This record gives sequence, structure tokens and C-alpha cells, in this order.
Amino acid sequence: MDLRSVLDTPSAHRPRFSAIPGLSRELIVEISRQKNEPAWMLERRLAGFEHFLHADLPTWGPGLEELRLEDITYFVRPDATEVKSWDEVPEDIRSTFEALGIPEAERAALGGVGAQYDADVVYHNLRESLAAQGVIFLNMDAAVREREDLVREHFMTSCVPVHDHVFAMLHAAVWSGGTFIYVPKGVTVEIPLQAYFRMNTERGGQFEHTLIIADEGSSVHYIEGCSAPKFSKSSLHAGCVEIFVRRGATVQYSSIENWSKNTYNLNTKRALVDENGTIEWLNGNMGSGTTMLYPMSVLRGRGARSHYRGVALAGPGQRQDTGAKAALVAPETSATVESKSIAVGGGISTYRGLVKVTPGAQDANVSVTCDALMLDGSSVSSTIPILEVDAAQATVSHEASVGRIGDEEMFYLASRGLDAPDARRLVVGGFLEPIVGRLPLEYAVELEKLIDLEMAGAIG
Amino acid sequence: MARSRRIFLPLSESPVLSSDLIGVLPGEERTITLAVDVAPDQEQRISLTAEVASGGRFVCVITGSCRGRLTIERQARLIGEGAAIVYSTALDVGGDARLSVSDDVVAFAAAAEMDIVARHVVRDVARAEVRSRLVLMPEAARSKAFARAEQLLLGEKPFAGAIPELDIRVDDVSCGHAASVSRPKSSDRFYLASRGLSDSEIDDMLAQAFLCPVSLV
Repeated sequence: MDLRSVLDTPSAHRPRFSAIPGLSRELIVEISRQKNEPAWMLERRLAGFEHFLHADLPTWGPGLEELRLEDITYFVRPDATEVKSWDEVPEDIRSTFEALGIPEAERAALGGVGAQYDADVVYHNLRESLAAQGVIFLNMDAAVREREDLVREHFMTSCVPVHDHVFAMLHAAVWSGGTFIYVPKGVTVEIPLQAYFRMNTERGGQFEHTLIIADEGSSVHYIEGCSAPKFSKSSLHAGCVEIFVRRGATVQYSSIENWSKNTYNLNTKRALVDENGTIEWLNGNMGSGTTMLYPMSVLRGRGARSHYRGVALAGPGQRQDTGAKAALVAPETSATVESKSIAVGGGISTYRGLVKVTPGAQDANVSVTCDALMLDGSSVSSTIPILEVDAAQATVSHEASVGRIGDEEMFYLASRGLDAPDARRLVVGGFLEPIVGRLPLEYAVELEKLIDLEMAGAIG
Repeated sequence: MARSRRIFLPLSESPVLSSDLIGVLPGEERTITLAVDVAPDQEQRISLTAEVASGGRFVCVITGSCRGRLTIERQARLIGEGAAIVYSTALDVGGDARLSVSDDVVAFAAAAEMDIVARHVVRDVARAEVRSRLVLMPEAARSKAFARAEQLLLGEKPFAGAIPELDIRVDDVSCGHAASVSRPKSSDRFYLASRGLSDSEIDDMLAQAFLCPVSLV
């Protein structure tokens, strides 16, 4: 089966529980009951729900008028429990992940893997060597019970508070599954950890929660992938990623999002970075019909650093509204943003970013670069960067360019024997290389394949 | 539906409506140069919309000083092939002044040229907000559009904000924008101090040097 078919074809798996569409207090209580959660987590869910009832959808960005929240099924549990061996995963679920290459990647290159199917994690495993070092890599539902102290302190409190915005509120109410990672002081996790999220239900929603705590001096690379089959009705993804980078720690967070074109991808990602800590974001947005995603770094410790690199491809029928935010609140902090986007076949690509430098960020340094490539005249590319510098002794710069592949480049490649589609693909590859080249090889290859799929579909 | 909670909004979310329509005829070149000096308790508003026909060129340069409240709202519609617009500002903003510059330009025809330049010195506790939006409609093939917002901070608590937007709906174009907010290098200040200049004289000299690429052209 080719990659496109694997991604677009739903499994015949029948869930063991599927809530009725729509959101209610009763559903939230039932989710918490089924997960056997402590009382404080239910309180947090209900607080999110209360905020959500009084919140409005944003008026800015791509239109959300066609998003029918009342038609979404918020909790679908597969007929499977979490296991540590792929052999124990039900065949109709396992075959999907095998076709996506997850077990193979785990054997070849990963220190740990979590695989989530609709609302539940069905596979989770961590190499013994990492567990021996004290690294904790759990599914989020289990972490609520087994690491209650850590989770209670960090889950939607200071990083992405429950009341932060309407989709954070919704997420707080109905979150399920996800990943919890804790890396002890001074520990370096040499091999990446990965989670893969697969949504299989028509008009379903996935609301996984990722919580990463890298203690002082530690280092970890975490990779997320996701996909969903192509249905005729819309699905919703409103996940949340919270990352705490303690003093001197380094977290690299890589994500390749390839939801189906009928998915609304309204994700929230944020990192709090302490003194001399570093967060590196690497984002590939290839899928979903409508994406609103703006990973944010809050640099609250002296010398904290943030590096964001993102690629977005908006093909036919897609609206990629992505970007990065950085808030610099401590001295000697620095942030870089490199964003590359491609619009083709009528796609709409928007870079939306924010750089906020507060009075405390003396000697701060920020550089933002966003480049957009338009492959035809029917597409749209926009950039909306916001820069705010309040009093600080800081240097902030931003530059952006929008254009198409030049006739000279195409002529040169044609003179070397390449036909137009191959020449175009080569130029696009070169355009994206500064970002794609930073991914682990296996993921760079996958991203290249996804780009090939999207461009072939758009250009023909 | 909820508006953004932010105060400083992009033009796409908070557009301006300018008055004072200025028509530029085919092939005509028209330049407006305004020197402003807004005193501390004064409020001044400059608002205009230019409609530029084929081959026409409209230039609007605003320079000077603001110590009060100054609002500049300029729109432009480039409706003929080869129409061009240059909007520039070079302002020294100080005290507790409030400066708001909004430049909104749309090209409806081919081979348009747009050049937006904002170069400001922001001192003391002044606040300067610079917004621009360049829109190239599908008919605006072979167009060029560039927006630049450069702000130099002096003194203790100035605020500088910039939102340069691009909205590009045609591929055969060349567009870009750039924005920077910075302070003078300490080595520059040291050099001038070593020549006997006081802090205020240094600030004034650096401000003049920063603004002259726009104010003296």
C-alpha cells in the first residue's frame, strides 16, 4: 500500500466505547470515571468546561464557521489496552502502525515509543537503559495516577493554564492520552523518544496531552507524528504540549503533522525555559484542512534560548495558519525563528508570529526570518508578524520574502535535462533543506515523501 | 465571536478608513512632503487615500518631531498598470508621545510598485506603533512590494511596535518586508562621549543620523 493510501484509509477496528457527539458535563465526568482519575483532575476538567461555555471562537485567522463542535465525538476508546509488545496490540490496530513504520522505527532508532489510537495509548515502551537512568516515559493517563505529584504541579497550571484560550479550555475538559516525560538532573537521553497519534473515527476528536519536564542539566529529543484517515465529515484535533526546560537543560521537540484534509488542527504548544535552558522546535505542517498552530517559548531565565524552525505546506483546500511566538522576560535571552512555507494549488499559507520583549529582557536578541514560496497564481501567502519591544536594551529584527520559483532557475534545470515537475521538486527541496536537514534521517525522509505526495496531488 | 485580546492589532484585524482622497492621473507624478512638529499637549491626525492610475506615481513623506499624539493613516489603491506608491515617515518621538502609523496599500493591476519606509527614533516614555499592509490582488502580476520599519530606542522606557503585513494573491511578484528595533551600539556612544558630547547631545546626534536616510532624501 502506498503512503497516501495508508494515511487515508480507516481501519475496520470497532471501539469498545464511543460517546455520543457533543460536549456535556456528564461526558466529562464519565471520561474521568473511566480513567479512574483523582478528584483534582476532574475539578480541573470541569473548570476548563466552565470557561469553555463562556468563551467565543476567535474572529481572527482562518474562518472556523464550518467547525461544528456539537457534531464531534469527543471520547472514543479502542478495544485495546496499553501493552509493551507490538505482538499484543490487536491486529487491526497494529497493522495501521506497521504500515506507518512505527515498530520498525522503534527497533532501528528510538529509545521509546508511545502509540495512541483515538483516545487511548495502545502501546508504550521505553528502553531499559533509559529507565535505569531514572527517565520516566509514560502515557499521560498513567502518569496522572503514578506520578501524581509531578503532574498535579505542572498540568495546565503555569505553562498553558486551563483558561488560556477557548481551545485550551476545551482541551482541559476532554483531554485523553498523550505522553509524560521526566528526565532527571544531568541525564542525557541520547536516542529520541517518539509518540504517534492516529485518529480513526469519523467526526472524531483527539485531545492528547504532552507534558515534558527536563530537569536541570538534562537533555532529550522528543518526536511526535500524527495522521487520520480521510472522511467526508470534519474531525478536530485540539491537543496540548507543555514543556518545562529547567536550568541548563535542552529539549528538542520535533513534530510532523499530517492530519487528513478534513481535520481542524487547533493545537497549543508552549515551553517555559529557565536559566541557560534551550528549547528547539522543529515543526512540519503538511496536513489538515485548517491549522492554527503557534508554538510559543517563554524565556523566563537569564540566558534562556529558543530556536524555532518550521515548514508548512498549504495544498488544495488547505489553510495553514502557523507561526511562532517568543516572550523574552529575562536578561540575555535570545530567540530565533526560521519559517518556510509553500502554497500550491489554491492553498492559503499564513505566517502569524509574535515577539514580545519586556523591560526585564536586557541585552535580548531576536531574529525572525519567514520565507514563502508560491508555486502558482491561485494560491495565497500572507505574513503577519508582530514585534513589541518595551523599554529593553534589546535587538530585534525580522525579515520576510514572498515569491515564486524564478524562470532562470527553471531554465537552468531544464538545460540539465530535468522536466518541469522534477525541476520544481528540486527547487522546493532546496528551499526547505535548512529545516528538513535538521530532522533525524528517517523523519526527514518521511517529510520528503509527504511533500512529494502533496505536490503531486496539487500540480498533477 | 471574540476579538483578539491584544491592543496592538494588525491592519487585517483592525483596518483604518482614511479620508481625503487624492487622485493621481495616468503618468502623473505627485509628491506630498509634510513636516510635523507636534507639541506635548497637541493632537494631530493625517489621513489620506491615494488612487493611482496607470503609470502614475505618488510619494508621501512625513518627517519631523512628535511630543504629543500623532496619528497617520494612509491608504492607497493602485488601479492602473505600472502604478507606484512611496509612503515614508521619519519621526523623532519623545516625551510621553503617542505615534500611530498605519499604511494600507492594495494593488489591483499589473507591474505595481510599493515602497513603505518607516524610520523612527523613540525616546523617553514615548510609544510608537507602526503597521503596514501590502496586498497584491491576483491581477497584480509582475509587481514589487517592500515594507520596512526601523526603530531606534533611546532613553529609559520607550515602546516600539511593528506589524508589517503581506497578503499576496499572485505568484509572479517580488515582495518582502523587514522590521528592526534596536538601540545604539555602546561603542558609538562611547566614541561621541570621548569627543566631549553630553548624553543628550549624543542622543540628538544619533537620532539625526538615524533619520537622515529618509528625512534628507
